[in-house]
Amino acid sequence: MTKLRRTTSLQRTQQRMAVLFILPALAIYGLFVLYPLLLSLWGSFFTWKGLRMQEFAGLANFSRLFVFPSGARLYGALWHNVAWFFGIMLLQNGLGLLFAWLLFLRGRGAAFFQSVFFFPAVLSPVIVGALWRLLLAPGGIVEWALNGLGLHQGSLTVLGNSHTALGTLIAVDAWNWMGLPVLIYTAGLRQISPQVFEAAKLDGAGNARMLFSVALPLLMPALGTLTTLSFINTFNQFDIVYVMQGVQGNPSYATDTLVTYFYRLAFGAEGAVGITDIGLALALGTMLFLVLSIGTLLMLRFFDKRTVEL
Amino acid sequence: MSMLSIHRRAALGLIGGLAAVCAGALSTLPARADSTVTLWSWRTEDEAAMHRIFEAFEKKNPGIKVDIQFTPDADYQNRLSTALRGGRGPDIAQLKAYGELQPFIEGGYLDALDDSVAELKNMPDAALGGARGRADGKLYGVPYSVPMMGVFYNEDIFAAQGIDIPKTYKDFVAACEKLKAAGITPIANGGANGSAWELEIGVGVIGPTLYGPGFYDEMMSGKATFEDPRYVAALKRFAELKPYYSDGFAGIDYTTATQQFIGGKAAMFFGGSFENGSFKSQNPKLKFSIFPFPADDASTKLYTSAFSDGSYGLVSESQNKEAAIKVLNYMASAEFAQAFADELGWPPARTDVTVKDPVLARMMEMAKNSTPYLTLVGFRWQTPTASSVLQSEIIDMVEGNVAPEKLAADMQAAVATWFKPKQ
Repeated sequence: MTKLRRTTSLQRTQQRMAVLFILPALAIYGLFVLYPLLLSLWGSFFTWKGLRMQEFAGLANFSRLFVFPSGARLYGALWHNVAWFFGIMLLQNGLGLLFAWLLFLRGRGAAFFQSVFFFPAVLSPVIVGALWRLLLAPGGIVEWALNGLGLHQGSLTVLGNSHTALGTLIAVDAWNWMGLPVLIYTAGLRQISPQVFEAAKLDGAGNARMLFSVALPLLMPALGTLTTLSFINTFNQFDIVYVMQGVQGNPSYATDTLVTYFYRLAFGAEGAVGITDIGLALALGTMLFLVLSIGTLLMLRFFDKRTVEL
Repeated sequence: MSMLSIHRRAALGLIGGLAAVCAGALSTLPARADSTVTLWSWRTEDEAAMHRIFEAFEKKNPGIKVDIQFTPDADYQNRLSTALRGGRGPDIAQLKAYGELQPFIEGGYLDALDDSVAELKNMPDAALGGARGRADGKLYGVPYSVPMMGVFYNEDIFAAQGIDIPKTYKDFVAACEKLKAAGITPIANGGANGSAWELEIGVGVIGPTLYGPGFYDEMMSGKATFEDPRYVAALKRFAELKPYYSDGFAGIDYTTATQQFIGGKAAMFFGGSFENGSFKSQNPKLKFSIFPFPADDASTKLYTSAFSDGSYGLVSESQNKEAAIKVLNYMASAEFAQAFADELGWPPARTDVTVKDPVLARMMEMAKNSTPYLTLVGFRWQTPTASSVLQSEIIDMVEGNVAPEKLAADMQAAVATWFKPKQ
């Protein structure tokens, strides 16, 4: 009895200590994340004049978001974010899986290639954007290479063409972060016990069959993590667009995203640098917060259910 | 996408406006003596010249030091509004003109200068218009320049190809053909990667030759709209010159275009008069001048688009107002305007200057017949501005993906949400 009581009191002391240890981090998090977040939620229910909060407006900011002239921008940006998410899932996480599988099969030199794939990820997206802007410029290296290979003629203007600009930016983003899925999938593949693959081989499965029927179900946690991360990041996409196309998402809003639209409302756009609509911006921010929170929760549950236990 | 910065980016995406407040509170300012007046400007190109101009002032006023801090244009407005909200702004701030100035006035961040800067009375209305508060009509800044726009041309190339300054639009096209045949880019032009404001200026260069000097008033009174055939014709003309623009137009940005002109690879450039100083400083050997874009008929009187570029205002929370007002009075003086014209080669806000620079003299001559730069002076008061629509769609229009009529209709629909004609 006494022994038992002693452990519980010890546990209680430990718990109290734990709370004390968390406090500094919690205070910083509260001050710099929670407090501004709550302030911005609060602010989205008010009208703003210039830079100052005025009177309570209820849901007026939210209803303004969906009608002309804001509606067209909102739906356009939302669609670009959705396209961005699927593009990243395909180009980055899909190709990443393929590369990781090839490295896993090869074994030798895998670490070296992993570093090669991961290299762009150590660069800031701002640098990556500026770099590709130079490479893709008319008269740049990519144009020279494509013309040399006979795949293209004349000036290359993919970034100035509203049909190709978004796809180009998504590809640049995928190139930037290709190393991440390769890293995560390779780690996941190494955790699968080799007997599983041996058994599959004995049953006569080829490499492709092994990837889709054996490795992929076991990689579900990794895939879930990557999908959730990609979802959050593509819906917060800002830096690459800002650096490569400007905050308007040029040309003709073809590369506009929810956050570039938010930025224009909160901080002003080209051709209207000092004219902001902070109420509308905060309403958009609140919507974005809800979409991301709900989306993330749904995704985590979805992948939790599909995790295979051996 | 970055794993490490999810929190940071979620915060950016959600709380930009308020995160900015924190950022403002964290920005550190150097300790300064009472007689130091801080002045913020976005004209990084003019840094050396501005220091020289204020050295003269400091010599005459030994008690006052002027500390000028430059922030690139793209970040300036953001930095200034953040600092003002956090009570950490400069004493004197460079301010945008017309509609973009109003939020600062409405927020009560600026002091009116009508009484404290007497010299403002000696400035032309074209300059003062950009610094006026819309609600009270008071002046909140000391204007520094009234830029106008025209066609910069390389005199050496024109001479070598035997081309005279075109008198009609037909001559202009013929000159472009001749240059193209000689393997020279006729017009360096581009607005990719978020620099489409330069293309808006191009429309400002061509516009008045087709819609004339009375069009601004017609627009203001609601008699005309952007869908007026005269305005659509201006957009059409800007688009139909595409064969003579830089190769790969849709991918060329403003910087690349200016470099093509400065480097002598292109013969012409549609630009604002503020290019004068920077062209000269980047290539002192370049022989260039400016001419007004020609109209269809040689006898048409040519008008140029002009606007007030901005002003320097007094921040209400300044702890150093007495010295700052002294500095602003100097900036409103004829002496400053003269130094400004000599050092920068822009048309100053005051007209009582003697012009030494031949290109500037041409500009001041052209500016005698000016009409307000339509999209800026008339339609940059509330969002969505005409400029934001024009800048977004103009590359597509030149490339043939958007019809000029459609672009004009989009501009009109956007401004119709807030623009009330003055009867």
